[in-house]
Amino acid sequence: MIIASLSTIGGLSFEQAVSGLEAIERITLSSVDLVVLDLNMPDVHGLEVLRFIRGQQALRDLPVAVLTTRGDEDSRAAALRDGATIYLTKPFVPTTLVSQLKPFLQVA
Amino acid sequence: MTGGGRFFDEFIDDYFSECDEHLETVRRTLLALEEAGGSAVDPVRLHELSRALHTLKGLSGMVGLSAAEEVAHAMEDCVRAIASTGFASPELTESLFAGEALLDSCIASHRAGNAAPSPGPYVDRIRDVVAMAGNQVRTRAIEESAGAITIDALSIEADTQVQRFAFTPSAELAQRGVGVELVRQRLGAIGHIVATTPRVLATGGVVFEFGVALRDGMSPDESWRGDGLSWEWIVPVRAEIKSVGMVVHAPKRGTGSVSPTASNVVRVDLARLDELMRMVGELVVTRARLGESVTHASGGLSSNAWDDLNEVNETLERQLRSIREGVMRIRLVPIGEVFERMRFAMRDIARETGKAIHLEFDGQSTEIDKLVVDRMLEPLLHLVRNAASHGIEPRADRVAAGKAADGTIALRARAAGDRIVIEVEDDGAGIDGRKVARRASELSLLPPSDARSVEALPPDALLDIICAPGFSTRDTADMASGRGVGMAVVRSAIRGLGGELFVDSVLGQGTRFTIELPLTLMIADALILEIGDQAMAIPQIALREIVPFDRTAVTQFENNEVLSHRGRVVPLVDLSVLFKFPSRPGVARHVLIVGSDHHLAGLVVDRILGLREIVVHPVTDPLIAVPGVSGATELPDGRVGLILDAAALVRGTRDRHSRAAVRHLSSPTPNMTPALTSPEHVWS
Amino acid sequence: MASGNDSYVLCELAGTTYALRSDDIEQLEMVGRFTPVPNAPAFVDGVTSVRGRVIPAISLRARFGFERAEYDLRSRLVVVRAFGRSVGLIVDNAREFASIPSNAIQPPPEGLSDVSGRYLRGMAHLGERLILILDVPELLRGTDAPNASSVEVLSLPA
Repeated sequence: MIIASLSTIGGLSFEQAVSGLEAIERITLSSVDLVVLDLNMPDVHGLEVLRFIRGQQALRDLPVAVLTTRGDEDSRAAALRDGATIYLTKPFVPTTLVSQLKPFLQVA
Repeated sequence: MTGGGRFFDEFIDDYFSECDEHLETVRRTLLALEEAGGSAVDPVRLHELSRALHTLKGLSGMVGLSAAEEVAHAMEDCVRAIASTGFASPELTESLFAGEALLDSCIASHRAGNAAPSPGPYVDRIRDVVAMAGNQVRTRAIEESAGAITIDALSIEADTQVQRFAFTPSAELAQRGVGVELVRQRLGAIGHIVATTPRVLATGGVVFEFGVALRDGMSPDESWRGDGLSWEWIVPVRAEIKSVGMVVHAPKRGTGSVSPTASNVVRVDLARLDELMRMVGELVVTRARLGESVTHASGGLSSNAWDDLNEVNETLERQLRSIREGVMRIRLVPIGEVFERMRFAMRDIARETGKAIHLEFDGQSTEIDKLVVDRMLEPLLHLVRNAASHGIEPRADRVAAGKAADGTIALRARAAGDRIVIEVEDDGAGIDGRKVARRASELSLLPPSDARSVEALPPDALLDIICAPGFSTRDTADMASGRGVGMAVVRSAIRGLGGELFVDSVLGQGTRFTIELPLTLMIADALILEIGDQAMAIPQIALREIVPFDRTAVTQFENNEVLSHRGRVVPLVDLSVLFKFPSRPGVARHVLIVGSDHHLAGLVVDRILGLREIVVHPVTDPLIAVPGVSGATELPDGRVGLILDAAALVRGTRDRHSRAAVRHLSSPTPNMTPALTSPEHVWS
Repeated sequence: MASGNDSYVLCELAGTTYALRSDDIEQLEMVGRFTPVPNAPAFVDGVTSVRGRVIPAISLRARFGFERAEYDLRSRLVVVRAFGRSVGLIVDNAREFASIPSNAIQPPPEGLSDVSGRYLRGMAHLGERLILILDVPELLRGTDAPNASSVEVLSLPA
């Protein structure tokens, strides 16, 4: 997961997980408004985490933005099929990230 | 790198300062890892390093600094290799250091606006190093076979048992820094993680199940149970090393290391016990507030109603005390926990000393208070180290003396009447009494003449000399066993628990240290204070409040000193006067408010030294059963400190009150604590 | 009870040698630090921790009315036990063991004016030396808390 460890960007606060397992842990323990999911993770593939999330009733509607590499069409298709809300391609500029995510977040 | 407006510029500055911070963490953890040595990999440190690297990777990726991103990624692979093998090989460690330097220069050049160095060669090198790491452990094991005590077996055979672990995350654990990644590091250090499965619970929570093929001789640390990890013991089988022909010396596993599975036993998380204790503590505070309210309510109630209420309040107080003591009794754990930690330590010790030593356990299921277990870890470690470095002779000497080539250190525990007895015995060279006496007189611990009559030196005197601070038969500090302060600390730790240390040694045959500990410990939280130059303790539960002693707030009331406090009149007892320990001039004094809601007293003492948990020794001998003292405890500096009997001191003031009441015609209202005669008349 | 040959520890106290029966002795310790106990009898130097228990330490010199002396490396705390009590007796030194046959014990010398006279079982000769044999249980029994009066006051009903 590549989430800025800066505490806020453009008014949003980010939490970081270093692996798929940790992502699952964090999502379960604290209520998050949105998940930015890197598909290429060391332990568990991002898609598995996505499926795990979507497999839970409570998290069906949790917005998940999937990060894919530019040109990786297959992953993008798979992600959207498995329930990703949107996809973003790497590399990206933080401002873009924020502006693309904002519509999916409830106004705090 | 093109900027994207002001927002991006600000972000870039943040990026650099964040990087600096994380690089600092990388450097710090790398140094700590290197210092600890290849096999003593601290999972917490490793986890910290891994996080810092991951963050650096992410940050760099976001700003498009791919060189740094690649280097950080490669370093992460190194860290993963260390985590899964549990061993930081020199190559891996060196690679990490090189990576840090490269990362630093990548970021620095970006800052300066120059092109970053190419990460390619480094990344390639890391790939090779990491691949090698898998085979590295086996290679290292071969080198160690001569004189090694345990050998890591890394081949996972088909019939190797896989131990299942379950980690349940929680907000509280997360706050303490315990998460699934840390658990993964820990498990990776003791074996090979073959499977990981997250499972959703009906309650909506998640549990992570790990399948781990434990390495031979490895076992999970019992303290991990307090960190959300649970497992049912399968006694692991020894994995065979098929590829290399060598002997595996695995320490014998005593049956006591398996937790009792009898149905009348409940396994309790220590964290839950502590939580329970904390809740009891809160109950105590709440009850005190209730008591306060009851007192204030006295005006608006009929006498009967108030008496009833009061009685319930006091019953509650008593019952709470029972609960507290009951919870303490639950804190018994098998001593095998501590013994297992010795096993870990022995690996390092054997490496440092180059000796081959068997570790034997007996009585691991003997139960002992958790507090004692925690406090006995260091002393036992020290004794085991001593046995390994000073007791067990080098292999050649042993063989020449007709002994088994490998030395044996035995750790035994048993309950004996009202005590627990723990023994640390080695079959080494024994303590040379003459050498000890000679050294003692050199250090002026013994008058020279006594050195001659050393044959008659009884074991107690021998032990006293060995335990004297600063005593050591080595001229230089011995890394494995410390600097000559060790034995003194060991003995005072044991005595601080209400126990005692003994030694038995036969020259040429071996040494046995015996530790006796009381079976039932009365532990209390106490405030340590000073009266004159004597340190004393008062159980915290008896203490209502501490206020600074302000001479101007004290009034004389019929020959006694009283203090106006929260609308009440509190009789004062000057303990310095009562106990005849004159206060040091100019020392700041304090008043300890003690007693129950209806009868308060203020004990005037000198300095407050702090709060600590103490072991209470009852004081029963009539010679020292003086009023105002209810027991004694061993203070950290080895002195005995007397424990104040707050109830008796308060009663003393009440008795004076009742005598005074007889003299006076008017009877006091419940809220007023009336005049009292001076302390001298009562106590001398 | 005295058997044919009893083993004793010989202690020196202000120039006199006393014998204490080994059976009554729990331990021999060096003299460490004592914590004074307020309002205890004057001969009680304080309490100390031995074998995980807190026991009183008595200066035998003070108890027997001799002049006190500074403690040094030779001084010993002889921990004795009787009637379920363990008490430490501080002596000048305690280095010898001796075996004294019961028939060698004579009645204590007449007219011993000091306090120790009350607690002697008898005396014996070891070569040229005169050894006074101490009755440890009697010593402990006689050394009780004289604080009874204070205890009474404390137990008055409120």
